[in-house]
Amino acid sequence: MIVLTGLLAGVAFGFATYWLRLYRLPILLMAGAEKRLLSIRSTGSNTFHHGRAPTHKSRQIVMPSPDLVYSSCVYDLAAGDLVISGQLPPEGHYWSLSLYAHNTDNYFVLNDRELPARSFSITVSRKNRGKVGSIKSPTRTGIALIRMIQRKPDDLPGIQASQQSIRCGVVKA
Amino acid sequence: MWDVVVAPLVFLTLMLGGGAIGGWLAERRAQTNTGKNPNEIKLGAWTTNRLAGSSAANALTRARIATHGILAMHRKETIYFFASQDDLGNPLDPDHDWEIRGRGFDCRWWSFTLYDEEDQLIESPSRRYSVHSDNVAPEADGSYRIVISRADPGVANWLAAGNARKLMVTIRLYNPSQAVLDDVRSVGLPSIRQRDKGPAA
Repeated sequence: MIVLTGLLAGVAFGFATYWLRLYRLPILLMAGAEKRLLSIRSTGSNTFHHGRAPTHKSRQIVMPSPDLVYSSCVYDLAAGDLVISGQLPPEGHYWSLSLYAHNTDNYFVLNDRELPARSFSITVSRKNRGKVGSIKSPTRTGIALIRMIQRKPDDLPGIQASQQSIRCGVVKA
Repeated sequence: MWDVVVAPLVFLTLMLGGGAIGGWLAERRAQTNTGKNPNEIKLGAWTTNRLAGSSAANALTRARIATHGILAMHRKETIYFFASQDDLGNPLDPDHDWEIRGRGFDCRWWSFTLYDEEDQLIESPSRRYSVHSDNVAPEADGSYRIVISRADPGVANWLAAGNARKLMVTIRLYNPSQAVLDDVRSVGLPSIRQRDKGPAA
């Protein structure tokens, strides 16, 4: 009896542990990514950090695209909604804004071709506000990532101007 | 003695053994389900997952993407293809030279990037980490040929393998066409073959 009980309990435990590990892994890796992104800036969450195109020395995130210039923001909606706005780079440059939940899901993405103008403004919220440009985040924390393709070195001034135009701030709900 | 020492020890041993079996069974079941998953697609040397980055991804897909490509975008925005083997199934051994041959893709912008065993960019003397739709040097017939090697092969489209111990190539298709989104198999992926005359990897 003890043999059967021990074996069955072990199998059930092993099964449960495997699935728990599988479900927890993305959350743990995302927490690590958020921590690493926060470590390269001094301003904390809810502010954008503007990077340059990654090189072999860039090791904060796996599989970076060397053709993209990134602006990233680790957000925390504990204090209220997050409003992100700014200008896009000159016409012809790929631009996108992605929002990632704390479990790594890319729950929202917007690119330059989907915008009627060369500017954008969105509000990230924990609740469904029912307004145009208001995005509900499935989790309290996450990452906002803006990507711009740098095709050649001459593109950089236009990209940097776009980065500098980005405004990000918390508004009380 | 039996009740206090032996029985708990036997129980613990069996639990540990059972735990290992349970973990193995769970992993096997997850892998089998993934093999049956129509969203996980293998096309020649290349693999892609239709649910990468998506909220509809299952636990195993999410864990894999988080491990090897965290912050991947939804397929509407970018489709990713990965290859760590050639067309014959041989691992892309960095001690050999490899050649990728194909044609452009039906999307807004595409790129090939080479990564090392840690999924990081590889140091390149040319500081060129990718071949993409803007910098590719096409052949006379409009196709392209990309060479992966440690030493400079003297071709325009070179991706340096540097001191990497393992290699993985990633294709990114930004804003793929509706035809590609509807049927990712129609994309027309390139071949990967060993280029040098050394023994097969």
